[in-house]
Amino acid sequence: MRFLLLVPVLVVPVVAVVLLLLVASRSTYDARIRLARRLEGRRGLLRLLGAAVGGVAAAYLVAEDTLGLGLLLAAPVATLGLLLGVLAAELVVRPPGGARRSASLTARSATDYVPRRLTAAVVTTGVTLLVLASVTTALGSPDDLGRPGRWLTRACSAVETASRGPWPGSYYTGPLLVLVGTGVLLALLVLRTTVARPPLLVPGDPSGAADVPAEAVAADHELRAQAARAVVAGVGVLLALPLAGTAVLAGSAVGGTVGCAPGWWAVVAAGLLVVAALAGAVLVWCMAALLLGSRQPPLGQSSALR
Amino acid sequence: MSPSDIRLSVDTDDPTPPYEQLRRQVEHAVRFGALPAGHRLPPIRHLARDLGLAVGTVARAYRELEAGGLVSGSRGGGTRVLPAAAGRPQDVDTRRDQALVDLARRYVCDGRLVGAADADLLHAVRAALTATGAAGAGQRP
Repeated sequence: MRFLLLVPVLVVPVVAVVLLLLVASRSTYDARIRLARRLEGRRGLLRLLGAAVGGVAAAYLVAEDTLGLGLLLAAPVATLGLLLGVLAAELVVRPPGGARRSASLTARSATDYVPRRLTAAVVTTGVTLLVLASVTTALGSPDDLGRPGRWLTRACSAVETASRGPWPGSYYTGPLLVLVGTGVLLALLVLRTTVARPPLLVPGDPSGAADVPAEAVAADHELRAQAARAVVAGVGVLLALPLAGTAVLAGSAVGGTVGCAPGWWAVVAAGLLVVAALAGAVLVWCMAALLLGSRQPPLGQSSALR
Repeated sequence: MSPSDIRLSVDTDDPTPPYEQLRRQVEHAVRFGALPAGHRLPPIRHLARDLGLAVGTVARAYRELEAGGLVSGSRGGGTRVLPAAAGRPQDVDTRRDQALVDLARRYVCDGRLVGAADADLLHAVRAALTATGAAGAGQRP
């Protein structure tokens, strides 16, 4: 049974890597993209390595799953691997070392590179997860073995109670919020590193000479934008999958047979399933941005370059 | 030419200290209107990384620019070009024209010292314009 759970976790990273390679091999329609790939060198491998390490760690969590906790934490762990890969790729960029060097006189900021609509969706997802997890944590109660925050219990009368689980209480949300918080902080660090790193140099010209071609400047901008897009999309996966899981768990518990539940609980359950569906949509959007983002927007057409 | 097209260059083999090279170039860009009032300069650490220089070198250039009344730095707001630094637009145009004439004369004199003919000098200018892109071609801020 556990092997069956492993299948999607192992298949998704493999499919992602294959799709990335396919996209990379097809994106040769623009000379600046080719230049960006030359500038990037082997940094892409570091990102793939990070994603692979995250995928393996997530698969291990699922394989060692106890009471669904590993399944819930798999996506955040996979994203942490991806973010560490992006961070490593940004940290290996060295400053120019020749006698003649040049730099732009315009300040860079993260807002020049992050995709705005996707970022807004990811922030909304994060706020929703925080609110929902806080509420479910507050409402959780111990299960039959005394593990805190695993069941939803309602007192039907002075002597009778009805319980339903699993419930996304502190048993699940505690480690989840720690991992999500770590991931968000790591993502901010990666974004800061992406903005602050020195520009990539044209291969064969280690000096970073004063006469930098405009195409190289545009290609460097695009590579920063790609890294920022990967970070935002990665955080989207980090938040959307746990949000979907939390909403489904809470929705099925609230909508389930808690003996004396009032009628409006069914409305809450339906609302939670809608939240889960929306989180799923954000998840698909983020996966698409991760896998297809390198082909759009076209190089040199971002607002910072106009 | 827009501010995003302007690039600072530093030659570490030049006898002029790098901080002074930076200060002079930013001063020219401000005085000749290439950097408008309110334009935000890159953070010191970013510029130092981009140029492979020590943070203190760039910080000194910024301090000198601030002392010269060209830029103003504030915590959180970054370093920005001051409104009064460039002067009136018509004065800027005149100063820029005069500066270009001076630079061209110096270039021609230096070029002749290394034995270049007029055609070689023109060819070198065209090559330099091509190498740095056509971003500012035919424009005047």
